[in-house]
Amino acid sequence: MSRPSVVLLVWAGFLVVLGLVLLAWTRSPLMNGLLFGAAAGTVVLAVVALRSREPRRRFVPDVSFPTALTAVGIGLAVTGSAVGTWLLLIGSGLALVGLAGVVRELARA
Amino acid sequence: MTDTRSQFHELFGELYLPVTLTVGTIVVLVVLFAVVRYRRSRNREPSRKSEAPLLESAYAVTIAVILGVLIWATFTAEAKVDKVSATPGLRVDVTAFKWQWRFDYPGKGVPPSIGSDSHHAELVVPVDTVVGFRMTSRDVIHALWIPVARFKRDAFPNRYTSFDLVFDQLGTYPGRCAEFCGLEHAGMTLEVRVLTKQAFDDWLAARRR
Amino acid sequence: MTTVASERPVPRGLLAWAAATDHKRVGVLTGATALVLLLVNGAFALVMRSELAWPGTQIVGLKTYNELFTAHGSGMIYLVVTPLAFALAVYFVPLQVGAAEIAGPRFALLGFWLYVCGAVAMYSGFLTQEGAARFGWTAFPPLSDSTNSPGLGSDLWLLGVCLAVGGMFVLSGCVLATIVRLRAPGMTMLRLPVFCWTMVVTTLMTLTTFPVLIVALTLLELDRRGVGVFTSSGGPAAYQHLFWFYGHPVVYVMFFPFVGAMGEVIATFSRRRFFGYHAFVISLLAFAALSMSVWAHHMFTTGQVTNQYFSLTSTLIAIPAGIEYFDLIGTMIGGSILFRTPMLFAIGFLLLFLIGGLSGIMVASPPIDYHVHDSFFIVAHFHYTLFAGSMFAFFAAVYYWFPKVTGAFLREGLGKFHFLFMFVGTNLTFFPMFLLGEKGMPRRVGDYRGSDGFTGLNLISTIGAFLTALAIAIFVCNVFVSLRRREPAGADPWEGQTLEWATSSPPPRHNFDALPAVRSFAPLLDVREGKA
Repeated sequence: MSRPSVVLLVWAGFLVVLGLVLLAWTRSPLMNGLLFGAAAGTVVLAVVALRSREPRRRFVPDVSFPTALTAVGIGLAVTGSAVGTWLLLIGSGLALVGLAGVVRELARA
Repeated sequence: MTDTRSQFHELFGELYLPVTLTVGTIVVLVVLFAVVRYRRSRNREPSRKSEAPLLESAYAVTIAVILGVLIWATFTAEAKVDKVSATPGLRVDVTAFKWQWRFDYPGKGVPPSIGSDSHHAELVVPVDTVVGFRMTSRDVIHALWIPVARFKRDAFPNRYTSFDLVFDQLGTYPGRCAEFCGLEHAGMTLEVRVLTKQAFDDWLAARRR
Repeated sequence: MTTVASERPVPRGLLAWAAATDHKRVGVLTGATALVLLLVNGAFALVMRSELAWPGTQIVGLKTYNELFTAHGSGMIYLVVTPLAFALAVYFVPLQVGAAEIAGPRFALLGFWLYVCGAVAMYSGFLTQEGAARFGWTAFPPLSDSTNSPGLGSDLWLLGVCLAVGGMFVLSGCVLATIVRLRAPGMTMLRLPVFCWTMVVTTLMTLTTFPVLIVALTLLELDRRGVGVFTSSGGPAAYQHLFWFYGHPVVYVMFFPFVGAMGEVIATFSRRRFFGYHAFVISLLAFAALSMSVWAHHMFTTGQVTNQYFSLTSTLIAIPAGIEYFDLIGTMIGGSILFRTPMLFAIGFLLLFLIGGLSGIMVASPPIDYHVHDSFFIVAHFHYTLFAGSMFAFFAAVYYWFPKVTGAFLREGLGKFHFLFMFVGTNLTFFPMFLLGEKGMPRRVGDYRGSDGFTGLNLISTIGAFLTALAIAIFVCNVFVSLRRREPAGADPWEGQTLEWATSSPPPRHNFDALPAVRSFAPLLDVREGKA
């Protein structure tokens, strides 16, 4: 258990055991799917963790307005899907501007 | 006889409540002991021992044994409570709707008891009889809760659910909706009247007229 | 002598905070927002308790009451307790693992703002013509469909929840990535502090179940727009499976981080190494896995699930829970306990969460649940675990970590009053609810009849609620007073054991100028005991 991916695989293993026990009681695609699906998701996380090497030293600015703008844009766009197309468009526009700003920040790093 | 009330009393009052109260009291006493005995003025030098695997394993096994008893009792009681008889003494069809109840007595030739704003629905049943319920909803999810029977079941639209109840005490008892169903959920109540078998037959006869 | 890093100017001003990539600032922003919303949702609760103190509708009508309990429940779960847990994690996990920053700092900032947008969307329902969502935090169809709950307020709520939960999902990814990739040299997984281990399982549950809720609510929103998703006879139950698959693990997301903080507090104030570390780690993994498998115990009364399996897994949870209690109390036994406010709240947590946990074992039994489900018994159960449990632990963590974040102590005297009033108030508010539920009072009701026999207990509960509100007010005063007239705290005011105490209070932008050797999960204790 000294490595994160091992921890994640152990946890996925617990979920599989619990999923198998559930199978003994019920064969519902939804119920079995949820539990085994969570196990599968955890295995994916374990694989990602395994491939995680020492992170590249990337310069992150102390302040990132584009990131905040992207988030607010997403928020407005999602809300706009119920409120009205005008808000959806404004939000999407702001999110795109924000993302462009983040890309610029990454390029400068 | 699926007497849900006595099943509840046996399971909750005679097993779960005493067990949890005992466990709870022990834990509280241990915490209070720790707080008094190991306060800084009583114990300057903390112990360096930081694990006790054998004791901890024994403790986990003990909990597991207690849980085993609880689970066995639960499974046994639930089998009795959930059992639906093929030949109940009386059949009642329940329909839940926003925000009243409707009780039909199939095969008895009587009009249903339907609740209204001015007069909430009445569920009239004979004492010491297995009453077989079949329930559905006309709109959203409701739940029939009869506290005296220690029982509730959800009413889903486009589905039927069946359960048996036995009422072993005469009297009038409240029933309510227990699944939030909109504006007047709080007022979606009913009255359960448990009559002697003779009085129940008389009530049926009176309604046939 | 200063290093180049220390010379970097600290960005000032509101805008610099609003777009900060320093995880400490994101943590403070998240925590502060959640605390403000605690007050807002707490105010809703006071209105509800005032209404329920006496039979008859005196203060608010049923429509408003239904809006209030929907906002209170969803607000507390989505916008207060979950964010408070992640606020602590975002601030302290990088410090505890000896990292200079959180993994994905911009993602953390994104997560915070998604949460804020979600909160705004949810509450903006109150401004709409048809009113705010009022189908309960669970939003079960058909009640939540467009026929039974028309109006923009309901849609805003649904979308707002998706945003807020999405924000928490992103934060959890950052926290897990920090633990996976940014641990200091020498810090193996089995040398992670107890709080970090609780964050491992918390983030695992978050990453695997929060998307399921977003799917469920998106499907519900589509259903409301005419796509028949939950309209078949099995639809409502299918929604409940999707909802509770998130809805149960989330209560442990709102529990484990605070238990981890209690591990730190109890160890520090008992001057002892945390007891039973390895057992605790295994039990955390088992506990979290079990918590992923119990969800349909919320559906016992539907008659549509296999009650036995979910009753079994729900009851088995008592084993890892028992191990955790054993280890927390085992840390106190043999210790040298100092009763500062953090320790008082930790002891309160141990005693009060117990009531919540034991009542949980009761309702894990379907025949018992058949009576008390959807009644005030359940309301008592989850408030004992979430308020008397998690929030007591949260306040312990605040009194413990406030000096690290601000460089100043919270006042001890006010802290003790806060604890006292909160302990008495919480029990007065919620214990009567066990009795009310057993007696037959359902939940989510804005009124009851005088003839029901519920009045006396409701009155006591309401008095308790106001006492609890007073306690929270004392806390708010404490924060203001402590920041105005500061009692300076140094780098390590409590003789802490973990790495966050090995740097200044507050830490510099890059967190550490130097790190001690890491030989165990309590590196500073090792130094003091001469083991390093």
